[in-house]
Amino acid sequence: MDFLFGPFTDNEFLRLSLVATCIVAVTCAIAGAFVVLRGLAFVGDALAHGVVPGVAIALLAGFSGVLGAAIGAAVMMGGVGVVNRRFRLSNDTAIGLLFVGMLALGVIIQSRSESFAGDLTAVLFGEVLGITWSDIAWQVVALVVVAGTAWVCRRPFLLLSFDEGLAATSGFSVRRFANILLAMVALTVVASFQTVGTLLVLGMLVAPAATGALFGRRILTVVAIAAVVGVVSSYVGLLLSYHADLAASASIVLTAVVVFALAASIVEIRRWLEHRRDIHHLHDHPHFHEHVHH
Amino acid sequence: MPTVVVTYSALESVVAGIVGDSARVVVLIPNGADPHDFEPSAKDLETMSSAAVVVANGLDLEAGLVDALDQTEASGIPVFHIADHVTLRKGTGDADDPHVWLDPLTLAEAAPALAQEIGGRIGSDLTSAGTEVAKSLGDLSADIDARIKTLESCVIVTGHDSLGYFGARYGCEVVGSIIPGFSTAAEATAKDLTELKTLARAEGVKAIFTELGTPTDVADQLAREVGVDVIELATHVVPAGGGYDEMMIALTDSIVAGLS
Repeated sequence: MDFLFGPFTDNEFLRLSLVATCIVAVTCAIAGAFVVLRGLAFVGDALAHGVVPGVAIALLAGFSGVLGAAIGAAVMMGGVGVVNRRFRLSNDTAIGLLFVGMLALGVIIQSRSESFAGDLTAVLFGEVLGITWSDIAWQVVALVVVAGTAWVCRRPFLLLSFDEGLAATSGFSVRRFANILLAMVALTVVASFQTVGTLLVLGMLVAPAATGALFGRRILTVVAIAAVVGVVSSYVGLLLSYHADLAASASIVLTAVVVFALAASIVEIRRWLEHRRDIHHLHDHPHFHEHVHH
Repeated sequence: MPTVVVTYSALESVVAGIVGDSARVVVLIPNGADPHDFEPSAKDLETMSSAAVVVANGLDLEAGLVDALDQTEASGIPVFHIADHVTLRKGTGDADDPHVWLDPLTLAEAAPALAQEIGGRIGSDLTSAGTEVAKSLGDLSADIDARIKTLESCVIVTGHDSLGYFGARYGCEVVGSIIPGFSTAAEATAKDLTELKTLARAEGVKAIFTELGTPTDVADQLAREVGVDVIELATHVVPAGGGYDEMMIALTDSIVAGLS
């Protein structure tokens, strides 16, 4: 028992890390379900890196890193929209352009500043072991907003995810809801980057939701499975970091990906067993066989 | 006038003291930037390629400059690595500690060889200047020692393992660091942080000292749990209008203030 709970009862910093990563896991489960279903992983990753110059400028100018990240994400989304609409370039080209542009800008600001308080490592990998209650308060607000948005817009979001054509004919603005969905993903990234960092936040967004999508047919099931996977990964990851002396945020994300791999293996084995049973079934019924040949 | 390029700002005034009026000293890494993270620009490479001598710390402190320094050396410009000319100490592992400049006496060991190297390249005899600089570093060290002696005990927790030479010279015990290791590029682990917390409490540490590249939120959280303050140390930053001496005195005073 001490092995499982001791680290958290003895250390406030680990309790705070666990609370924060669990909140982030649930937020990421909600946004991640739509990211996986609508295929937004690339734009999610781009948003995560688009916040880097915003954070760098915020730390330089002395305002909140969360605010800087939000500005970075807004610029990123606006830029993608402009390139996409004005120049008839495909969406992923627009995203790619903004992605590398913002990331390069972030590195330049960071490397040429003479008194950069935080450093790039902390932004890229997060400071999951340095969570404060005010960080958690922010994350709760983000969770409520993301959950509320997803609930209110669940029908349009689902239509967008499965059939954009049908979505257009069913009488609501595809572009508006696509933008709301993107903003929701952006908010999730901004709220989450402090824990696992901008480089690894995509893992929390995609891996648990992908696991959910393996098993769930309904969006609510996908979100629920994703939330459980995310929370379990956070706990196991922090425990690994404690007992095996591993980098904390990387342990959490790696656990989430390993859980997906295990879940995918189970699905694959089950499929194989079913397939074999069907073949046996065929051999056990010669009449059926004859039928087929005639 | 010939140029001597030094990689980071802490070394500037020391090298300037050796060359005097016979060469211009140019600093590559902006004062206050993390030498572990610095990537040179094209302009920086040009500056290096037109130097008489390039002075670097060595031991991969300038991690992003390693290739550029190799290239410079290959093109026939001598690169003087301070770490090659001083008595090195090892950390907890087997690696040599690159933070040699944080002890003036260790740095002074390199002064004569540095004076000879630069003097040979620019064609003037800098031997006496080298001796002079080594002597003034000795005076600085005595000053630091006197200030540290005012403390009852000097027990230190740092951001990364930067104060090994300083601690060994002035009798300060470095009980641990938030990111154990010589580089700021690593990430904290829950295990290290827990052990550090326990150690800091057991040793009665009075402050958590952070440097450039320390994850600030993690340091704040650790300090809250131990019940002490976080004090930022200028281990890689030369104060405005000052040089190496002023940096080391400011560093010493921050430690003394934090532990009093």
